[in-house]
Amino acid sequence: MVSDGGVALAVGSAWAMGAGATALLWPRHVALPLSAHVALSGLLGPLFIGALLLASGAGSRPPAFTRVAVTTAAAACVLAGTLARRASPGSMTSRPAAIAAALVLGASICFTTWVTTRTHLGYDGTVVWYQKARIIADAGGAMPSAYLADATRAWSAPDYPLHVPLALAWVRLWQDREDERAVKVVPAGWLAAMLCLTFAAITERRGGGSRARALALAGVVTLATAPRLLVGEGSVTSGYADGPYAGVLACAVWLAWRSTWGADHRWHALLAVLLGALVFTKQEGVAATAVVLLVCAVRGGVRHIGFGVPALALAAGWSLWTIQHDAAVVMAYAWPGVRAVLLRVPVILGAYAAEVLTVQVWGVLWPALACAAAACPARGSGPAWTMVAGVIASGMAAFTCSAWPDLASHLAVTVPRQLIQVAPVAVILALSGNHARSDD
Amino acid sequence: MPPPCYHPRTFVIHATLRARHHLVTLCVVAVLAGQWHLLGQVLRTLPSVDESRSPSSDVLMQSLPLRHSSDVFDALARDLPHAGGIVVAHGTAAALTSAYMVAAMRLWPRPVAFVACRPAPALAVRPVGPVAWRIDLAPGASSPLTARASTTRDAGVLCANTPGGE
Repeated sequence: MVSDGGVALAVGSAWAMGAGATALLWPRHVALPLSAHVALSGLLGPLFIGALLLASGAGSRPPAFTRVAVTTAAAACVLAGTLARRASPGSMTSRPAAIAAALVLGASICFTTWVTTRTHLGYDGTVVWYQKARIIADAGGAMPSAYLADATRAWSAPDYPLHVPLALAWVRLWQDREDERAVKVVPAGWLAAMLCLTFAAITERRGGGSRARALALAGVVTLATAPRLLVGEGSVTSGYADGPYAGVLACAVWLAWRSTWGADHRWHALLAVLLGALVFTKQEGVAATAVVLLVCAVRGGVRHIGFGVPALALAAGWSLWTIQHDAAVVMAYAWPGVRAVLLRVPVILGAYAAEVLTVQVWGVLWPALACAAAACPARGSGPAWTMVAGVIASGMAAFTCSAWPDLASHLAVTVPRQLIQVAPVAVILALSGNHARSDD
Repeated sequence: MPPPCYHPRTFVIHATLRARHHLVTLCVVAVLAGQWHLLGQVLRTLPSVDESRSPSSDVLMQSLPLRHSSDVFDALARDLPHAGGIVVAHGTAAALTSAYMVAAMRLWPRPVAFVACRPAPALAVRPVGPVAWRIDLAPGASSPLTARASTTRDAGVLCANTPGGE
């Protein structure tokens, strides 16, 4: 058995931190539904607790001090969030409907958590992300520069961002005895948050009501039972970064839409944190952030995209810091020449088409989403779909410069994970159709 | 109450909206039905509950095979010097790279180099600094993982000395 009490405290403090931070960041005069609060707690909690862990580790304190200090900070954040939202409007939902929805949502979360306990961290989940987590926990929360400069560990991508390793390290720090099984609570939490987010976003975009809740629950069950999301390398239940990335991306697109593409400045603080989470989770988060900002700039004007500056500064700062500490940069991309790029385009398009039509792992999810989105397009959802298309296009463009000896292998490994990253936001957008909110 | 008086155009619009609603419902039902069918197959492939504290590492070591790898490497880490070392794979790099990576991960903070002996001895990851030990990975051997003191960095010499030799 694992040290259950310590792991439960680690996860509980992370989610509590997220709950407090969400209460502080969510616009004061906008109702915060419980499902959205839970979703953002799960998505932002590990991020904030990781940032605190990193700050605490920089002071070279003993692990016991770090645990107490970070947990106290989480408690303080909950208190501040509770005080801040005392006078805020509540979320009105009729009780029987709320209970029925909670039951379905809870059953979906129980099922995905059970699957998570039965799967492994996976290849990158173990030797890239979990390795960093062990090293950070061993150093009491700091990322040792000796690791970045260790040329024999260049294969573990030392320059990758630290959101996932820090979240895993926080759990590792609470274990008396190392146990890989215990850290699976972290991806299980991210998946639970993603399901709550799907429910919250679809219900809100459709303006509430029984049909909205029914379709939101259908979206939840769709994601909770999609084989590609549940099992295999890069799946949301593994230790890969694609799960939290998918959740944060879906949340960023939803709230960018809700903020009328950045024009409503009350959402800027939350959007800034979400974009920061994107770039601190995966390197391609920079491309996704650029896409979100570009669409908001076109729709709302350049003066409304200041919320993207912290994320871009974070990405630049992290890159400079790793370069300064001699981290090996193992780029999987290089310019192959114009002719090679053109020759690769049909191969890449074919790989994406083949993946979305792979019935054994996706069922009919992608064709059905396309059909639903075309039948009932959500009013004002065009820019959100443009963001999704932009994220996919940036991934496709990167493949034209693949430095792998065999492009087909690179595509086979990476294309499924890129589609996992956009699956939740695609489900949310496809099922948000027809009943747009009056403020759109 | 008089019957509702639909203008033909209004009727067409309403009928279209209803059809589109039904189409979305149909799409959702098709997705869930398809996934329900697939899920049964997927769940059958899930591994059983593992007693090992390191099931993910064990999967990456399965070419040896090695179970409870965390216990094995915890014991090794206590005995090995803190200087760097080399993992020697008596097989191809493709088959044993993941096992090497797990070894390197668990032996932090030591720098860990990697030599693959087949098809020809080659340094896959070059050593950094002094070398004080070697770990041999030998699939199929009675002891698939052995560690000993060694200062050699020559790939040919490392591969020629199989476990039990030198």
